Amino acid sequence: MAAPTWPPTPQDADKATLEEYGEAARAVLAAETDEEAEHALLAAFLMGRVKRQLTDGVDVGLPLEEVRRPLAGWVRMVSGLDVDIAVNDPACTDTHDIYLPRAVPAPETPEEDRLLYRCMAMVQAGFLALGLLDDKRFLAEIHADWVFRNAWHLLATRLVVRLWSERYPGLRKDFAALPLLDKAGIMRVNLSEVPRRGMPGAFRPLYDGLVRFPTDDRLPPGPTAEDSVARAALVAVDRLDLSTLPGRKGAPLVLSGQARRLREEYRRLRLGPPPLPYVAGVLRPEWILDDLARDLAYEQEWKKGNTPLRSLLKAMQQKGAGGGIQDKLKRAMRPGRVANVPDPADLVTNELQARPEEDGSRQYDEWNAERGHYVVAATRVTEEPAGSGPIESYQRIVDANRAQIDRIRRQFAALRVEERWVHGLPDGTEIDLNRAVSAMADIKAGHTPKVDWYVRFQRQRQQTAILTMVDLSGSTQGGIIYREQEALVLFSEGLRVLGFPHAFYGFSNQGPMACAWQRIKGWEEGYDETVFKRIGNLRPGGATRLGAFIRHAAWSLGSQPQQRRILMVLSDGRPEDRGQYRGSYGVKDTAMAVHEARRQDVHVHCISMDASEGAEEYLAEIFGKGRYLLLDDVDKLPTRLPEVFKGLVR
Amino acid sequence: MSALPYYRPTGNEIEVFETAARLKLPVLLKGPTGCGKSRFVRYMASKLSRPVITVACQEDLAAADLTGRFMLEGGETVWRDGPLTRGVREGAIVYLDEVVEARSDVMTVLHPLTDDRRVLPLDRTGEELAAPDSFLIVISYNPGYQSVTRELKESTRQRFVSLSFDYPDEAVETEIVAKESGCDAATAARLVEIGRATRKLKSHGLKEGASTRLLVYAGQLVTGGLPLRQACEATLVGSLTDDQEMTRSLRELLRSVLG
Ligand SMILES: Nc1ncnc2c1ncn2[C@@H]1O[C@H](COP(=O)(O)OP(=O)(O)OP(=O)(O)O)[C@@H](O)[C@H]1O
Ligand SMILES: [Mg+2]
Repeated sequence: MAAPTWPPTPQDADKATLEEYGEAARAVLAAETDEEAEHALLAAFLMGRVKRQLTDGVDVGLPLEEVRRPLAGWVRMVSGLDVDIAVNDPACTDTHDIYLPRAVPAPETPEEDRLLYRCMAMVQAGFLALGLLDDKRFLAEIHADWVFRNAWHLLATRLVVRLWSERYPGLRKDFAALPLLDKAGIMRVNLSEVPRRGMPGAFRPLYDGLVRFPTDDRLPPGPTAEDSVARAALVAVDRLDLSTLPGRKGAPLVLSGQARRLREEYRRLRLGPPPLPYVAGVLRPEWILDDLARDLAYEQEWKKGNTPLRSLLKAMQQKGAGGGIQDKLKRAMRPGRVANVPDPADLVTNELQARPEEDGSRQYDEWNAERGHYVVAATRVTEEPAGSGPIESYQRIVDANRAQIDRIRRQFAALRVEERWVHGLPDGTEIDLNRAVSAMADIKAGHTPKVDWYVRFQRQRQQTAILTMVDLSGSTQGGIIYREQEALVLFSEGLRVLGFPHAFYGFSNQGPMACAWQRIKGWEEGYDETVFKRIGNLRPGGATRLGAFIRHAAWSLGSQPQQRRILMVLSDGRPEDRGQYRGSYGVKDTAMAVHEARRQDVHVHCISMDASEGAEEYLAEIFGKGRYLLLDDVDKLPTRLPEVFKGLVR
Repeated sequence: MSALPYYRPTGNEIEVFETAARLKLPVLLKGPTGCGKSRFVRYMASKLSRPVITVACQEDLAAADLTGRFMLEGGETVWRDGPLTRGVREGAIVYLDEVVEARSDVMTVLHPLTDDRRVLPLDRTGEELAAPDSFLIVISYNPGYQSVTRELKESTRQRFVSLSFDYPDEAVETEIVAKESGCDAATAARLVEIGRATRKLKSHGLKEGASTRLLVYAGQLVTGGLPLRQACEATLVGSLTDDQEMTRSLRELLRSVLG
């Protein structure tokens, strides 16, 4: 299949849908048993989705990022759900957060684009508010049967739209305006644009009913048998008593009852599989699988019932030996999310084993800019103590920098906002005797005294948590790592005087899953021999998967109680690791990581010693203008680090 | 007796307070801003026929501000009672609003008053005032706001009978807003709906959602002749945030609810 372009035209969308599901359809028709047919469908569903790609240079409408925060706030308020908004295409939800496409098609028409985002978000929120996604087993079941799934989704979306329209007049307007929007068709939020070629008659009134909600009288007249079943289903859904919702029980039952009814009718008429609209995206299959696996594992039912999932896994094991399917599935299972499953060795294959993260390591997603989505749990960061060695190496650095250390101590002492008495106030807590006496003298002499004889105690102001992360990758070998050590010595002396909580970590990695976060001085650690020895004996080696480390640093800072958080990044080159993590991939992921950190209120600042060409550009892209310092001379690092910091807290 | 101020109880708080007052036990009111704590204290004081002295605490408030100090007046130093001392002498209800904001020595002054000694030692004058039976300390505290360093110390917390306040449920809040602002029930219901929605933004960009107080303000603006949307804009958007993105969310909310 030709690589799809983005944004797709309605014709493209049409074609993609047919191609996408055509193969599944053929496989289903060729299947000899029902079970085989279901496997084929489920396999296609799990593995075969055409991703729409957002390639560089394509015109897009209002990017999600520009509306994400206000939109998330709004969704929280109108839905009453505690959800966040993140990126995925198509729109879906994992029942915790809502995922929306990173952009909508060009041209940018801000009001329309916002409307589109609002509607996409509220469809997802509706599924959550109505409790339609609570029963994971049921979801797995409907996902194995296209007719069932489509009918259910359509009815569910209709219900969702009704729910919000009844509750909020403004949302009623939004949903009413939706079918008029071309973009909605392209994004397939608007079902009228779903290709009708090959669509069985039984589905037509459903589509029409959804698009032309909420009044029945606007349904097209259709006296055929198929129509009447679909109509009955719609009416049943419309009659649902929403005043008792979110009752979280009735709605899913009525919906699935009606969807089953449609399926029966559909089978009876021997119609081929219908095209699948992804109107309601709803759940990413791997998330369903993940949750399901968890449930099933808990109940130790894997070896018993013939669940579709188990059959599927078996089928894959047989067919997929040597193929990529198992790998894909394994990745889809998101090890981080199954952490609590009791001994998964009992699962169908060992490769599905969950990896408990008892070692305190953490996994992070990675941003694939080219694809426009996150690669889930792509990296793992593990904390370990940095290497150690003789104390003399530390002592030597201190001896060589005596004068500098004294100077920095003085400078940092001046930065300190101490608790102190403020004199000369017109009102205060205590009387300042000296001033009071001179005021008395003034009064006695017949002068008007200056009313400034009070003093007041002022307490310390905002504390700041500072994390400094130091590049220990192989390229720092030689001069750079020594300057980094000096910088740490000077900076630590200053910070100790200042009394702000701080930590020093080194970073370097061997591939994405072995990112070593090397503790030089942890938050709680005091300055003792252990810390001195680590500072004096840093050792270079490994690569620079910077994005993962910045995410981890932001997390670490987030665990500190201080409201102001600063992250200082010392690095000597561009983000680079084996595989695709180089060039613009690494830069863009790191830029995204910095962006994420800033959203968590971390001030990120970088000092780079990269002498290579193009350093300015990628640093600006990652950290933003004015948020990095490119040193032309490595020797300046030790003195510049404290200076940059001073500039940040002043 | 003069008319009691309007207070709509939301639980058994009146009974608890009366009992505590009878037993001379100090009271701690917990809850977010504008949910009726001050109103409740005024109501109770009036019900129990006691004067009430309210002190709004802020971070520079020190013990001396409460107890009193020597002032220079016409060339002489004169002792002036602070509000707490005055309250002890008069047997009043002393209400310390947002007490954790105050400097820590304030707590030290309160301690002997809040256990069975019930005395106020005045170091500067060498006096030790015994509190009369009608004297009662009430403090308030908003657990949501404080940083870890501003939490109520255990030794303080455990000296008080606590009453937890929160924004009342939908029906009660609607009643309060209508009654306090004079707007009609439908408007009050709309305001409460919007107000409750904004509380979902707490710790997601807003420190607090709209308080009952703010909803009353909005209602008053409507009663005063302003269209509902403008009244909401001026209170529920403008007074809640300066942040552009939050403002946008709140505007969208108004649009969704009001159409
Ligand atoms: N239960 C209630 N009965 C009557 N009025 C109420 C009630 N709750 C809130 N109000 C209204 O809300 C307004 C604000 O309440 P109040 O001043 O008591 O808040 P507060 O809890 O003391 O807030 P803060 O912590 O900001 O001082 C009152 O003036 C009143 O109009
Ligand atoms: Mg008050």
